[in-house]
Amino acid sequence: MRTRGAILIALASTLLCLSVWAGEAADLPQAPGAFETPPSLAAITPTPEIPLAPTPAPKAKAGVGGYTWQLGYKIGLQTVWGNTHSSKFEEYREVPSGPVLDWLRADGEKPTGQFLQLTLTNVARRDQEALLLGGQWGRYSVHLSWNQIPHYLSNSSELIFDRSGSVYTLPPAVHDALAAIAAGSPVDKTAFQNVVNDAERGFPLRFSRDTWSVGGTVDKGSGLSYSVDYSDEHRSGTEPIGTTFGFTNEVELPEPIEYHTRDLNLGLEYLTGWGPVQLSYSGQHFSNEYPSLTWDNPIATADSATASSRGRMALFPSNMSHTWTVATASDLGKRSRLNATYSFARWTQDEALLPATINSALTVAPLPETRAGLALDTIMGNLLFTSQLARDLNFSARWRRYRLRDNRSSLLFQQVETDTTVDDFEDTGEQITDFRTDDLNFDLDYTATRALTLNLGWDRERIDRKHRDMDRSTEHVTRLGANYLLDETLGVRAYYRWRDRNGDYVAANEDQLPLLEKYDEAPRARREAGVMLQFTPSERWEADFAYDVTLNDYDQSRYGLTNDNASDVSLESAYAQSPRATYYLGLSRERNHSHLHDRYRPVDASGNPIDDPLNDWDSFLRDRDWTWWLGTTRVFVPDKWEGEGSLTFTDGTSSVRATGVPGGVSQSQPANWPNVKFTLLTLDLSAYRQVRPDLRWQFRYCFEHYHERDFAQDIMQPYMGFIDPSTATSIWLNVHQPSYSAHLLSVSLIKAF
Amino acid sequence: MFARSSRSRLAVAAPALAGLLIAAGLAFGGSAATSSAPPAAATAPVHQDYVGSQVCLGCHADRAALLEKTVMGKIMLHFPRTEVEKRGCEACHGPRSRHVGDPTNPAYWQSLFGTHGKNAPPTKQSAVCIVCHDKGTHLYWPGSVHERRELSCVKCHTVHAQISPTHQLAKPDEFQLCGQCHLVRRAQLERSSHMPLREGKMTCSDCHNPHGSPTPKLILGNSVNELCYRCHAERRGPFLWEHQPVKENCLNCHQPHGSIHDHLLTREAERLCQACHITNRHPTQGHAPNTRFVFNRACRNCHPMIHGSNHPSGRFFQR
Repeated sequence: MRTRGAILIALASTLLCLSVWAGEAADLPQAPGAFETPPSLAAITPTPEIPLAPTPAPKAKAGVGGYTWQLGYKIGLQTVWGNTHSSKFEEYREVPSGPVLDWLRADGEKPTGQFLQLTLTNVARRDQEALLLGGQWGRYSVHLSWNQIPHYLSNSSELIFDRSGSVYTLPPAVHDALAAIAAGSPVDKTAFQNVVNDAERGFPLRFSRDTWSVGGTVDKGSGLSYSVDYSDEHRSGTEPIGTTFGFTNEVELPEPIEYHTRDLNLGLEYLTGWGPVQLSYSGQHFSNEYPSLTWDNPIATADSATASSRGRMALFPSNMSHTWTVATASDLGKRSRLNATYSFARWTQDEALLPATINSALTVAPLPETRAGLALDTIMGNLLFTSQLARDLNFSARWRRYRLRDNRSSLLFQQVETDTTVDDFEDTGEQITDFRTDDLNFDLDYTATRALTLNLGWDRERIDRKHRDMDRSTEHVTRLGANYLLDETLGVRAYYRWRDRNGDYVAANEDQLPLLEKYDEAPRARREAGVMLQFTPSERWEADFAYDVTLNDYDQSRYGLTNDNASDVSLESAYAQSPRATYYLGLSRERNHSHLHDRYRPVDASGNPIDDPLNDWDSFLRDRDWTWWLGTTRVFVPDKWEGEGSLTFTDGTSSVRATGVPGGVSQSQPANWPNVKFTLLTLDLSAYRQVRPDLRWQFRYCFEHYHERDFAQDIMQPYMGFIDPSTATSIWLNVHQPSYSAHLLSVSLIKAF
Repeated sequence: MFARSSRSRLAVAAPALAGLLIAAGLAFGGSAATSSAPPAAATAPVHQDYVGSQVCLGCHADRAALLEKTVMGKIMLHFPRTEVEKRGCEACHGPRSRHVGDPTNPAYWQSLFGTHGKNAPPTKQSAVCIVCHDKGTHLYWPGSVHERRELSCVKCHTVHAQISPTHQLAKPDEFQLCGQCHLVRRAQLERSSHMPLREGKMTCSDCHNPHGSPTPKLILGNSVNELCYRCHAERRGPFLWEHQPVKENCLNCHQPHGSIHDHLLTREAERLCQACHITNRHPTQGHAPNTRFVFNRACRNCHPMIHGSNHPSGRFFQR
């Protein structure tokens, strides 16, 4: 912190000197509206926008390296207070107190057209970015960039394990104590909880994506252009993962993340007599330093046929993908055009396979292979034909195929569930994914008048699948649309779509309720409609309105998701009372309702499910979200004082209600859950004092209030045995993302670029 | 089963369909202007000659000064590469000799979009830009959803004013530009579970190409999943044990623009799984909210590898 402060202060001094020099050199003239700042929904988050000087800069004298330089920056002092330690407040950003350099940009240009640009954002923070761009206008460009994205998951998490790489071990004394308590019948929950509470230590649950990239493009306007881009992303940190032994002792752990993702993208475009032809290659290599996770079983210190002293699971395996794409378009004459794309990708994964169990007391069959050796291909073909059939009639037709093909041969593995129970051999081939989608679209657009266009469309989407419940489904879509654009005054766009998906559903999984049809493949009738209205009666006032509704009826699904519907309505209006005062106001409401029909299926003495219609029950899910925003920009004293303010409020509620829940059985308890609710309020007020046309002070106050009530997270503790007795020997991470209220006060100097 | 036959069908069906469509278009093709119409210069109402940008600057220095700050302006005015670019102002505005000869005559004023000026049909407006911008990311513009919704280039881009740092957007950033029409998407980004768009770490064009794409919803990847794997490469696999709905479409469970539910889920986690899983292994009854089936990460408390498992014993995504 101290180092960063010193660096920033030194940088600030340098910038002030440079800005004086640059201002004198450029002698920028006055320009109204130089500091137009857009309304932003984000409040405390530093606004990354770089104000652009609205007026021409006369030729300045050449500076460093023969370049003529321009400099812009935003530097200041800020203080942040409130409960800023909430991981939700810091979720993807860092908002520090002290000196800050929000952004800096230096542009250099030579008379020959060579340029050099350096852009720094959120300097010396965990969410910083840097971009160096150079080249020659209209000829070539190269770039080098660095970007960090933090992701805070929880600052309250606690852990009783010691970590070494991807191995979590318990201190022997803690391990022995927990195992001894767990051996009791019944388990002494208080004693178990005390051991957990005494052993736990706080640690932050977070990871960061740090990416650097380098690349360039060459485009001399000769019809041939190239591009190359290479990036390396390092993801490092932890995120929570659930582990289990049997179903009675879940152990929540921080999954160690050490990912490297390297991307190489090559592109070539050539302008032929036929039209442009694009060739591209994208290669991505993902590597995980920790392909497995091992942890001590808190309630067993030695392997046995009924308990494993340790657990081990496979984490995400390293993998590769290669994608080759060729695309072209050509004007065929007679107002017709054909666009064709073909893409082929291969994904491979060859991670070493872990043994079926880490439990030395179990005997299982050897693995048929030592490595995964998996390969999967995807193929995409797209043909788009557009033609103007008559003066007012346009036609387009599209055919698209997407195929995902798994090339594996089936493998037989003996299953060892959660390192305790040896099951029969299972065939991986039964669960592979293999599908093909064929789309056919036709559209007719008729220009009825200069303002009105009507659209009639028809689509057919056919999906062929392997190893799922519906081998083939076909969806037909009829679409109607209209665009009414009356000059720049009124724009109305409306659509209606009727979708009908059909196919023969055959349950593939014998464990499933036979009458269940899964919503992502089941027969479905979908109706969609929407309208968008944009009204601009004068240059001072504009209003937008949008409404959309979607109704899904899974008319053949007697169980599972039977229907859902969603609608949203939005309204926004902006009014310029005068050139010195503008106001805007908006709201958006979204609603999602769904209905699930379930059956409680206990098992009989033989382990077979009891399908009793009296055990049927229903649940109703309702989500509702409101967002309001309003703001104003004011010029108090022209060329001296300006101000702006915005207020955004979002309120979301999710409810789950149930009826007909069967009673008299264990765990069958009241199922009307407490509502999940969140609110986010952001207030952002700024006053600007203009010093020079390109220089101004910003005085800013921001307030953010976030409140969340989520029963599923709020009740979490390291030990949950008193809340759910079935977790008497489980241990959790105590993950919370607390509500917060935070204030920010800042003074910044902004030099417009 | 369809693996082999699909290839042969593709080989036959694709060229046949393409041929049919092309033949239909060519047979019925008309003669009116299209989105790929010739440049404005060719449609100018009165024959005129090119005078060069220096002549334009004599009266329109203010406009040129703004243009000079843009990449396009630098190329067109100072570092042209092609014959069209060498025309400078007249590359877009057409030859202006008559206007120069009689500058007060309204008949020779605005001809960029024809006689209707800014009120010209969107396709006619865009035709001026498409003369040069018909390659790269604009390859799919004709026939794309935004073109067919009657959006013109100047609805989203400016030429003479640099409002955004890049891409000549009509608003300071994509968040505000796209949010003009996609109001509900803008609101969704304010939800408790969101990707870092409002923090400025992502933007709309990271996932969408507004100028068109061979994939529905203007998506940049060949499929939704291929797009998601660009940043979430670990979830690509392939895995020893796949969860098929996950492999087919991430959107079966996730709402990428923002959600009230953790991890951008479309519904409350337990009910989301239960929409497809009514099995006898752990019977689906109305679990109370204070049970391990519901709290924390619900089903994923025990089935964490829901995106696929690479463990020989991971059939049920526990390992």
